[in-house]
Amino acid sequence: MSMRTGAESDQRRFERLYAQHFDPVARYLLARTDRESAADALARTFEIAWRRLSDVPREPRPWLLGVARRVLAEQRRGDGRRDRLIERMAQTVICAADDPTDDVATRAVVLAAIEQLPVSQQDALLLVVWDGLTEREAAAVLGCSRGAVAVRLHRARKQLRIALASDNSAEPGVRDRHQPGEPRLCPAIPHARKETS
Amino acid sequence: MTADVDQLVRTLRSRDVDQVGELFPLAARLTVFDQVTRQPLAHLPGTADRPSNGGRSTRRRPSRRRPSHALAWMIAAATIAGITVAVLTATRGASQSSVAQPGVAFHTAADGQIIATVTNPFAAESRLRAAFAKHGLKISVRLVPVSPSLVGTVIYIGNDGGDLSQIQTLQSGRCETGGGRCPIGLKIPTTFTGHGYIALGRPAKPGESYESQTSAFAPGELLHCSGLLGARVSTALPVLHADKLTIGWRGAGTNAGSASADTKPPSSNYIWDANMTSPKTLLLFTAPQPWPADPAHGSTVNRGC
Repeated sequence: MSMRTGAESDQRRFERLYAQHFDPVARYLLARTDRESAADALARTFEIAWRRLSDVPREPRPWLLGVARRVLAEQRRGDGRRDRLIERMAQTVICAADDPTDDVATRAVVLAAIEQLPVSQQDALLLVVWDGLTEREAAAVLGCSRGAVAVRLHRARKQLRIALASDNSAEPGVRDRHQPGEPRLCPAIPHARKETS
Repeated sequence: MTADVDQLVRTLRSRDVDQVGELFPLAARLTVFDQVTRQPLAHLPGTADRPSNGGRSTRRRPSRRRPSHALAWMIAAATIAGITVAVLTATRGASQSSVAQPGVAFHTAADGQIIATVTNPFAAESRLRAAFAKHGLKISVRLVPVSPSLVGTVIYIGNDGGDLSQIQTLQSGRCETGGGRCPIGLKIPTTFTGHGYIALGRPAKPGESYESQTSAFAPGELLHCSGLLGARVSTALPVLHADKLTIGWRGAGTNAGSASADTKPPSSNYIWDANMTSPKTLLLFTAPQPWPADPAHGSTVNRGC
């Protein structure tokens, strides 16, 4: 599976890997966790890719996202926060509230429905919808068959459709995550560290 | 219907994903790259390296000097440093299209002048020179090792008997270089026919000294927000030794480049400034008097702390 060619140095190959895939991996992580944790996980992911360069397959993106996913899982086990993904999405629901074109209530329903999905279905859904992966690529990330991803996707979408059909109003659950008077942690560029500390 | 559901799910993705260039600026990317590739290539079985094994992994405690921490720090520091939109845009383009790109992006400004920004400081000097030549510009490029906040910036412009006075550097950002702003590119008249050379900052390799550096307390530099500016030597030394830094000494107000190295000052001295002269070598400027907390200096180097 190695993409090593005789004439190409490891450094050169890693340069290309790093330049081509830094952004997709960063987006994967930023979508799922806070900025600082994403930065940690990003560096760790490429550290692993460097050390295991001979294992990186010809199409590295699913492999890298698989590593990133596992690094995130380690982080979550380490800090005991298992619901960072949902927190992250909830923040997006809230922060988009000023945008009149966004249907906050509907998105809140979708979020609540996603929260109820098994993690395996969440993973499959978000890899395809957020990261633009094919079912085959998502399967490579998740370490399962393409058929399994297809089934998980089907079930996830079905659950979301049911939730949307049965709920015509916004559930308060999302907003309840924030106490009255608590600042909304809507990310701002560029002073990320100060804004979130 | 699937499309509708997917579209709704898509709206729940954090908007940070659209800000990757700003959140991970060029300097941070290069620093992490440098740190990662300094590590030996070795297979370490039993770590979390293998994807998709069902979550069964051996967890490792991160060491203090792991690049991941450096990156987390660099994001805040380098973002505050404000490496410019021009570089960020170019970086994004480079990362999309691989390092096989020439390494310099050329755009035409509204006034017709050529804007050149370096997209890939990893590129070989010959490749950068070829990129300029392709646009009819006889400009050689030299890559010089610099301290982290200066990576990707233009360090100096020189001429080899030609006239480079027509070329302007594009100043932007809020680096703490001499002018207080980062030179991040070149603006070249289309009529330019001279020849010369420019030096661009790149990360230092192990053992290399920086050819250009700014205050070690400036945003994007090692001691930014460390709290050691103005501290007593006795307070700072344990911290600096823990980072395995080789320390040199100068009296406050002396030139960093002065030939004779000063001896270690009294521990009661105060730190007035510092320069990293290589990734592992620090030059501390101290004085018996407390740091005067010059508002101008303090407000710039302590920005974001």
